[in-house]
Amino acid sequence: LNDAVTEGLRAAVPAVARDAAARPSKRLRARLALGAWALGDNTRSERAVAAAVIVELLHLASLFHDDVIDDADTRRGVAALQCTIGKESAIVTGLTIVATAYDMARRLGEQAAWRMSSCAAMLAEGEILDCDRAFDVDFGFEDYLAVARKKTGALFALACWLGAHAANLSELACASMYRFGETLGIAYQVADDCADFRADKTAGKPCGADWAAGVYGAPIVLALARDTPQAHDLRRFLRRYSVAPDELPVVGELVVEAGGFTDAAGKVDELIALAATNLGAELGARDRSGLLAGVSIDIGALL
Amino acid sequence: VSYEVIVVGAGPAGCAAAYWLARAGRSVLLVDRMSFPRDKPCGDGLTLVAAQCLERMGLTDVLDGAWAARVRYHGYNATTIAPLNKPVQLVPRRVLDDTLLRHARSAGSLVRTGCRVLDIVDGAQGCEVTVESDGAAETLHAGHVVLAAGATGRRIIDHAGEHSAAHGFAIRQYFRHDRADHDALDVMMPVVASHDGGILPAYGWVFPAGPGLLNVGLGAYGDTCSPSIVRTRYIEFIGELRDGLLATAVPDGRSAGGQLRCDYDPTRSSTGRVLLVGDAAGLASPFTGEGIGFALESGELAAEAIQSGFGDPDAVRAVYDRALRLRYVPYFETGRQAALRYQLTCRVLQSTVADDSPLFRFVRDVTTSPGGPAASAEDPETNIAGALGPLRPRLELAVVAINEVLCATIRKEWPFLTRWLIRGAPQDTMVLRPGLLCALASLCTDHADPLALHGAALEFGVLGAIAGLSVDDEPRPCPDGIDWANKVAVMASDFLLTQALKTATAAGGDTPTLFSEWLHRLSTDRVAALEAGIDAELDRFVATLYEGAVALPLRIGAADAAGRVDEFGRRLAVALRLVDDVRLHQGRRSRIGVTLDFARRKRLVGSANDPAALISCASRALDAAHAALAPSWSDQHREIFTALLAVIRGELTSATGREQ
Repeated sequence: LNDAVTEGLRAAVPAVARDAAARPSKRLRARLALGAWALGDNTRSERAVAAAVIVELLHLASLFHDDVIDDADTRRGVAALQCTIGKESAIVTGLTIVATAYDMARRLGEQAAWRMSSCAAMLAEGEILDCDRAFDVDFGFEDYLAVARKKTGALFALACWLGAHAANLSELACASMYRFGETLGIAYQVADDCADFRADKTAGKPCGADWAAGVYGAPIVLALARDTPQAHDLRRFLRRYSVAPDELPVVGELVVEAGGFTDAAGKVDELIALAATNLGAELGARDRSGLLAGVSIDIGALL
Repeated sequence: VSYEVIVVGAGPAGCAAAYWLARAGRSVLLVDRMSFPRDKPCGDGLTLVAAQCLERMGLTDVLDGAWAARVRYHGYNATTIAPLNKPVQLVPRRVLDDTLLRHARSAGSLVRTGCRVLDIVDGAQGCEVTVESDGAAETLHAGHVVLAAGATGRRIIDHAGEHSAAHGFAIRQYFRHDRADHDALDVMMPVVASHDGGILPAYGWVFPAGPGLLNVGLGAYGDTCSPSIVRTRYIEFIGELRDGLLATAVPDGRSAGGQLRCDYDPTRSSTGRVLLVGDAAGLASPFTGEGIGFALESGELAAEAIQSGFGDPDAVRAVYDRALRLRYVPYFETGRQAALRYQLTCRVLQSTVADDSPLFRFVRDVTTSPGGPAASAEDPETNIAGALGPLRPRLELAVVAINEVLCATIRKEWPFLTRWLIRGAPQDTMVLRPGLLCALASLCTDHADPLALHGAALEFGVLGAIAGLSVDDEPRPCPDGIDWANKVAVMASDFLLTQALKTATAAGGDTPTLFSEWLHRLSTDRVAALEAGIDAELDRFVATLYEGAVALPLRIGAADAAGRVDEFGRRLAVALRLVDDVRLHQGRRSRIGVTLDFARRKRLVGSANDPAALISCASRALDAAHAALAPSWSDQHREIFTALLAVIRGELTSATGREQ
């Protein structure tokens, strides 16, 4: 099926973006869709492949757009699309990809089209809410979770729902899978934020790009919520107009010393456990653990 | 003693209310605790709304003051100069308020100054208003009361005087200078706290206020900036300006501070027989602190409401509350949010203050004008209301329904975008927006449904595409190294286009198919255009954009009768695009909000640049659209479409006049 997904992606992506789409990636969302599909009626694999391609397309489009938003030079080890074909072209290419994903979803039925378009809208809403709260040192963790639910949870949820739907699982089971994916996605986002603070950074993101834009990740949000001297120092730092590049490590240390990293890592475990509770009795224990294990490894690797 | 209306407070809001009521023949008493002329801490700027209100009152040419034609935005480590859409007049409040008071008196209202209102008791037969002047108390009777007693005025009726978070504090002082005329609005944002380098939710200003006169001030929003912090920072602010703008200036009088109330709440703008106006209703802009425009406008609206239902307090309140709600709710919601997000706001403003793309012109318009872009646009869109004949009332309802869908869909995430979508047109005007065309085609093909959901999807789609044009390879940097302009443009465009997809899906029928087919064409055409850069490709993208704004809505509205509108829609799209090209080449903004410079940079106009030739092209295109009117239309519907074409042709005729 993996090869079919690769082929489906290649066919769906416009020529200018084909190289970028073909770069190796974890395909976490495709794996979730296929994993959910494997739990039900496995007779129509083309629907599972379509589900996987749809979510990977949405993900790819969001990466192209994120690279413009962050003015990033590289993505998956090569020059970002916005550098090679220009910013507006990269944005419009992303739009073409979303439109293609939408057409594929419509072929899976009305419900799938509604879920897919709602998901696309939620991703955009999440981006806006995340930018809107920029530089807010009083932004609470509950609010953070609400943004992460849209920004990241929605697409994981769509992957699980489409996979379950493609496997003709009951509506109830599809809804459980949706909630499972959503919570897992939030866990992934918190873990991804933590990666910025790891000693041996491998996430490949320039350290502190998000902080500079005022988008404080889970460790910072949780550190600021604490009432400690380090938290107060951190707050003072962040209220300034900008943090100089050579001061970024200081911010990182303050966050870790204030306990933000530890708290966030704890939240990841809680969220993964919470996600598992959505996998209801209709699934066997073996199915449940199988579905969780693969993704948990990826999330764990970020911490 | 009994009056039909007592107006409490003789600032701009009270004077406007008293003026309009007296003009309508009511017996009006206007009371104020001060003697006039008197000073009032303020920035002295008259926004477009204020200017329009003064014009309606016949006060356009009598005011002396200063004019500013541009803004100098002093951001973090950099200054940007941007022209204003329209010059702004500034008049010291001492002069403005005295002029307004005399104007209200000459319209027939009685005036008592040096007279304090102690209490207002609302009863079934009217209001008992207790006043005190020269130590003597007296009770007056009124059918209605307009409470215009400023930021602290609510206390007179609301003794609890509860605390509100949506407030601010500002200080200003006049300075005399002997330099050449100061013709810019100088705005300083962000304001950095001196003790810890943190950014304050504040901005500073230096405005011209008359020949040789400057108004210099600092205002802050919210709880973190107490009056004492603002006072301390103001003294430092003046010190900082000593080396620059105020180098040769000397103080003229002392500094004076005042509270700002930005807590307008649609449920608290009236009670019983009392209507609250201006600052008393919390109507100071959360973006800028400006309040004169809102004061004049709410005073006028209060007068209209009282006039419409005199003697029936419930009816008066219903009319007044609704009028305020329609005008101000999104503006204040957005503004209070922006005020809390001052760190973000100052960065986005600094990065986009001189950008002429439709999205960022809109962002600036929305922050300075509650009427939104339509109220502040120098080139209003063509008014087609007169062409709609008997369908007009139903189409007006359709527009309201579409606006409601737009608001409900996006209000929570990004309320300021609702103002762009709704394009608050002045009363009695209707513009040729996609949703209206969709509703028109639906009603004309004898469907009862105005298709609000379909129309809303189309509006999201077209505006999303236009917002995307603001993404640019030319960096518009901010001192923090981040291109906020691109960030905001991508997010706005993604947001609007995905809402379009979602709304089209909810609308159902053929709409999802037709819309996604258009979206595919639009995006592939744009990529091809940017890649190839040849005229044919560029042209195809613009044609597709106008198709989405004109032909697609007609097609979706007509549903199974699509055959009747297809050819007409395509030709109308071509014609409207050419009319827009004429506008651009005559130095005006097109109906999609772009300027010629922007259109050239983004390659939205072809190489043809002779307006006379464009006019004759556009005229032929309108002929072609007329010829494409399906023979199967009823006489009534044919008449509407013909009248629509005539209105557009009228625009061409006046463009021809400009050429000559």
